[in-house]
Amino acid sequence: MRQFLALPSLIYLTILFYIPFLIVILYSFGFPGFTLKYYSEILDPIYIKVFINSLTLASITTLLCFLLAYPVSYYIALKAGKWKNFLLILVILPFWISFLLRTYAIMALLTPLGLMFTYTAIVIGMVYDYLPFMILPLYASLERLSRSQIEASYVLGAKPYQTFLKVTLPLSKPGIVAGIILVFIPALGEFVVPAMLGGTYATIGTITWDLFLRYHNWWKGSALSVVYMAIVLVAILLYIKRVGRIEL
Amino acid sequence: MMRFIVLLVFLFLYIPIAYVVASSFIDGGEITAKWYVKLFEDKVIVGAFYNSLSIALLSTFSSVSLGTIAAYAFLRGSQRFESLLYTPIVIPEITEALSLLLFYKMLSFPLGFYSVLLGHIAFNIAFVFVIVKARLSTQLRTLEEASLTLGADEIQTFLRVTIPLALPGIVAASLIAFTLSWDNFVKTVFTTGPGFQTLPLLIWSQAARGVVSPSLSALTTLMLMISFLLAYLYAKISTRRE
Amino acid sequence: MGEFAVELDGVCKSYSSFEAVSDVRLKIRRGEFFSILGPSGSGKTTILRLIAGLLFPDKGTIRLMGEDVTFVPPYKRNVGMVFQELALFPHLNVFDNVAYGLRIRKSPEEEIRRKVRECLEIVNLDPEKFGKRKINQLSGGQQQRVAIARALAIEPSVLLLDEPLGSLDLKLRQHMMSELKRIQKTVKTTFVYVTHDQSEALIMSDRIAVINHGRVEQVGTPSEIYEKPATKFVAEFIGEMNFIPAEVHEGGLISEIGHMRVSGLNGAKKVLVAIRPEKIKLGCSNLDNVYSAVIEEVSYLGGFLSLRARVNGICLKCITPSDIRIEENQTVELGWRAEDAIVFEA
Repeated sequence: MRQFLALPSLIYLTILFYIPFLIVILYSFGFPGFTLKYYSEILDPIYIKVFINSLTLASITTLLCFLLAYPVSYYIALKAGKWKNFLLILVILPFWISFLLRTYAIMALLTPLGLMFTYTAIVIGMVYDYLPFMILPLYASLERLSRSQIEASYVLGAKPYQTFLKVTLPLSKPGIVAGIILVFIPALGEFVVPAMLGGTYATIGTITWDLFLRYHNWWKGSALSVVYMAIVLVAILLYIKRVGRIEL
Repeated sequence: MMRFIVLLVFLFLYIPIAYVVASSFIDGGEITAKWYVKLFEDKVIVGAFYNSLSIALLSTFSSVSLGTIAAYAFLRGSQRFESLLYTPIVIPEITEALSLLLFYKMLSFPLGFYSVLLGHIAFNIAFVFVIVKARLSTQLRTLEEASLTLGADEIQTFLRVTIPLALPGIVAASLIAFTLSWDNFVKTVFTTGPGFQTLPLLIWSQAARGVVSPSLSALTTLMLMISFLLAYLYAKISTRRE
Repeated sequence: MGEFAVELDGVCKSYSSFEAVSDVRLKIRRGEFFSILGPSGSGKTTILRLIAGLLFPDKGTIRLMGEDVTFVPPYKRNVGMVFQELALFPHLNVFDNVAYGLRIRKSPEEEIRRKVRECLEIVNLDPEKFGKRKINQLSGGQQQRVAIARALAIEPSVLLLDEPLGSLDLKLRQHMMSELKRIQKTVKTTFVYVTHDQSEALIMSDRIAVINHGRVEQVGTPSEIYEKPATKFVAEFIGEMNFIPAEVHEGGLISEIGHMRVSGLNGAKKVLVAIRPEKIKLGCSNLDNVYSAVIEEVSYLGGFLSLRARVNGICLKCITPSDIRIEENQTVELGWRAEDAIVFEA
């Protein structure tokens, strides 16, 4: 009987989330008609390049975030001692600042440096915005590592770098996977950073924006979104297969 | 060596912000607060401020009401429909945004205040649901039963036991919902209509052209201060609970 | 008013296709310490919740102090309940927890203060010292006592306890058992105590109901349950028991260990003869049943020896005072009186 309390929320989300979703799919097939032409347009070489741009950008972002985040997470989780809480606060604070503001901040810094509207600028902006999303999951899983596991490794004769490779890194895998998902998937569809910092650089996000808000081509835009969503779903399914379920 | 990298990363994270804050106080060569004064005099900015505030307050109120009772409904263990309430969090924002736009177009729903508000409420419900549910004690049902056996009826139990115990989670969720709504850009820009501006939209309309200006930095700094305030309040709530 | 504090008559409760409680009939007397004993999943907690009013039965009636309360909600029943997880309100301190029920009844403040003091003192907690403490500042045993005080404060006609001692360590549990007995004697309230631990039930109860698969197997005093188990389940569940399969023939009872003499056959062809380990005596030759056995294992238990003896194919567990010298692989004579064995249908 208590279950009915969830009904208002479920109804609301059905109307304003799930149904719009279906509408996108309908439009991608040319609603009110039916055609596959928009999908074939999306699979045009020009758009393939856009997909590749986005995938590359997302991958570079994820990789750089990982390389920068891991030492930070490791340090805070295992070596920070009394600074731990303070550093943690410093890491969490950017989460409370919107993407837009953070991107503006990077923009403000890059402008006098003359780096605006270059690919480098986009990458720097992406890493800047997404770094906290990689630090926290890594920190969470490194935190769970008990010091005694590392000490056991030393006692068994492993040197520090061996311990790291054979014990720490594998045990932090759940955090690594979570971080990759939290960065890669949204980065794939990122719109604000390439638009603000890259000028005319084409990614899934910026093209979607153009198609919808500039050219009012709902159908092609929907087709593009559906393909993007398909990629996201595949990524999520891979995650579930690896880790078992979605943990927030 | 590792400490060096860690330091670099933190500097990387905070120098841009520090720069923005610093540059908002500088005009020409001198330190001044004139940019801030100008902000308060600018009718467009003040209008956008009130728009942002109303949307944030209304969407917080609605989503917290709906999301909290939903979390209460799913208290003991997971049930099948539960993941339906999580999905908005996992789906990329731009997809949600454009789907709402199409939805409104199909219904010829006017774009403006309400179209933005309804969209905000949708994704806020999901976040509120997750946060409140995480913070509701799993013991809650048993505590309510104890209250019933001690002579309190359902309403008294709700007022004396359920609400006090749910309150920290509700407050935390409210802060988050408010922040998400207040800062929101992508969904808002897709679902807004002519003449309706929020602060993020305002910032975008200038910054999108690559413009970095002291007045924009001032506005950004103010927004940052508000974000920090919300973060501080949230931390206070979280630690008070133990 | 009725002489019985709690009466269950033909009570049944099912969850989807699972029948948790079937046709339960219980009559619990006023002022007694009554235990409901059974293994996990036997339905004992369900019975307790039915008495409390947190569940309503599918069939049957429930009476409290003579009044039919079958469908009356818990807050109108005047029962007190101590939950397995204690369920103390974390947002209230000790005093407010105990006062909760009284505040709901809108008792005057001085009355509340007096009653809370009284109840805390009954459970041996100093009201001055503990009144203002938060729940998470108390130890497990102290929380236990607050839960009891809280339930007693409303002066219930029946106090229901759902496995309250489960999470306590051994010494604390033993201490709490005597405390509970003392409290019950002091307030003279009917206690209905649910547990899977037979030692708790045997030590504290005036009477016990043994439950299995939602059905009442036997109701009786601790010694009745132990000495005269009514069903094979009760015989096996309570204490230790040896079971010897046997068949009835014209000459008497035949089993793998040989002939047996028992004090009552119920007409069944195939039976199980049950004999408690302590009823098996060693070295006595004037018993009804005497057999030659090889001792396979000797365990020293302080004042007693626990022996595993083999008679032909059957393994028997015996307990005997430790002033006898026994060694493994020794052959002994053991036996028991006919009236000490209980016969069950196989």
